[in-house]
Amino acid sequence: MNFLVCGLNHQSAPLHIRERLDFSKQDKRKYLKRLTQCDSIHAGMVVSTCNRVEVYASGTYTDQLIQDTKKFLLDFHATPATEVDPFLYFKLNREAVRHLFRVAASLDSMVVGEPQILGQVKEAYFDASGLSCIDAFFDRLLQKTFSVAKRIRRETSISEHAISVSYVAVKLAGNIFSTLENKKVMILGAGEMAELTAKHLQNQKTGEIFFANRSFQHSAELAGEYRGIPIHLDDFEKYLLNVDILVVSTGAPHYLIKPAQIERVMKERKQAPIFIIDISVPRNVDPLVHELSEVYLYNIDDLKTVASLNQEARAKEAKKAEKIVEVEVERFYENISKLEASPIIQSLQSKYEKVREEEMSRLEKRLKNTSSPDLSLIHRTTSSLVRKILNDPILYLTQSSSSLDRYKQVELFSKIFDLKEKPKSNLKEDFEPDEDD
Amino acid sequence: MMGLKIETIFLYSHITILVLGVCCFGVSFLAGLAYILQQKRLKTKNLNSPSLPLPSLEELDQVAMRSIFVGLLLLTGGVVSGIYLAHVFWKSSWLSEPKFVFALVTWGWYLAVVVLRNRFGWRGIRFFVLTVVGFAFLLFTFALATLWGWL
Repeated sequence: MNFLVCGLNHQSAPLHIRERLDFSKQDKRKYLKRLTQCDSIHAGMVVSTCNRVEVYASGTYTDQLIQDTKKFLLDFHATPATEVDPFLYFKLNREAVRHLFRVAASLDSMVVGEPQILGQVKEAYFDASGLSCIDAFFDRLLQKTFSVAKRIRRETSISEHAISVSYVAVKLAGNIFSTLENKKVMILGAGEMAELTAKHLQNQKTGEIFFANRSFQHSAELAGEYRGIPIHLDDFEKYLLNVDILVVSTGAPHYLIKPAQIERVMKERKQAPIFIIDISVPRNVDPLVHELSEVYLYNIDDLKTVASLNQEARAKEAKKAEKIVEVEVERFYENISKLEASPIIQSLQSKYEKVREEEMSRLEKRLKNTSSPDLSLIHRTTSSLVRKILNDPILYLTQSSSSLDRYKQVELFSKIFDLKEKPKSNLKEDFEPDEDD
Repeated sequence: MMGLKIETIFLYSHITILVLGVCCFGVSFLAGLAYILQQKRLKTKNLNSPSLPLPSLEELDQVAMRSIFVGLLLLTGGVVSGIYLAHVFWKSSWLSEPKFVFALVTWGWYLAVVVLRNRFGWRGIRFFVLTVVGFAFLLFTFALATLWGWL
């Protein structure tokens, strides 16, 4: 059994090429059917996101597998090979498994550690499995992939360090406030960054969000969009008395908020801490404000510095994660080889292969006038048929949880399929369970 | 015999209450140290050093306030039971006992800390400095009281 990944990602190909080969979700039935209809491909799935397009496939013959997978990818998008050849990569077996583990654990992502990719791989797997496009090997591999990704999430802090500026701000707020729930927020000014921060804060279920702007109408518009409260700029100081987080992002070319003003406010709020995020360039809050007791002022550069420090921390964690991937690839192959060599599966496969061969030889005698290409097509079709019929029983056999279950299953299997292979007492050795499964 | 028994019960309750009270102030002391560290990180904008996870300022503030409140209640109980013990059983002039005086000063200190924080807005770092100093003073009181007992 060979396992292949063929595709391109944000590192290997520019956006317009990735767009060219993108698989639309609506066509999943069409492309998955077409992929698994290829003669050499036993099973397959497609991961298509804005940063990568990858076709995962398994089959018996390496060269044909590579050829057919590539042909599928190009033909489906009616793209000439010359256009995408320099950007495509092919990885086989161990390399491909390692690649899949790295992708799912977000080590291959543009933003290392971003959590969405695991969900996207899961979705690709569910799509393929829903349309019966995967086999026992694929199923086991994907289960392992998810457990590796989970292990990496658990044992490293790869996703913990915020690296987008607006998210850093939210994380920073968590160092000051125990929870952001019901905390009052004020957004002074407008702009994309302010909106993004407002969105992040709202996701944390903050309390009221006040919008203050030079134009009240604009405040009202923003407030409408984010279910906030528009206020007049003149009332700014009055509302500031109860606000916990202030986001400033105006186009003003000078300091709008000065230490004396905040000092006055702080006295009135009895020194309740306030977090001020100044994302305007040039700055709108006098840096001296940060010197005041219980006032925490962060400007865009501070946030960027934290973000880049976090990026370094993520890179460090990624190294740990790579080591886990290496160990898990080895373990996966160890288990797979044991599984493939397991006598029960071998005898099941050989029994039905024998049935198929007998039927084929009988058929060949009856179809004397049939051309040899037609015969080979029939051969391929029947072996594919046998493989697909046996897929579910093998899958069932490889998924049992405990060694006792396995023992019972093997016994049952032997009875149902009338196999000569009887369960052994040392079955545990045949089916070494994964610790993380 | 009966009197001795009640006296023993009183004495042990007195000690237990005071030890629990001191533990509460100890918690506020630790929260204070964590607060000072967390605030230093936020003020210097160097959030990864030291790279140990610390609770948020708000959480530390709540922990300190609650533990001081409970500590104050227990200390009050300790002082009252001490006065009672001295007055009824030992017939000593408890007012001149140094440990009583120190206990009273500690009690007054923490009460002042709470009043300053809630009434006059002495929140944040000022509150925690007072808390940390308060506990250091309390340890000093205890050490002195023990020493006095020996002498």
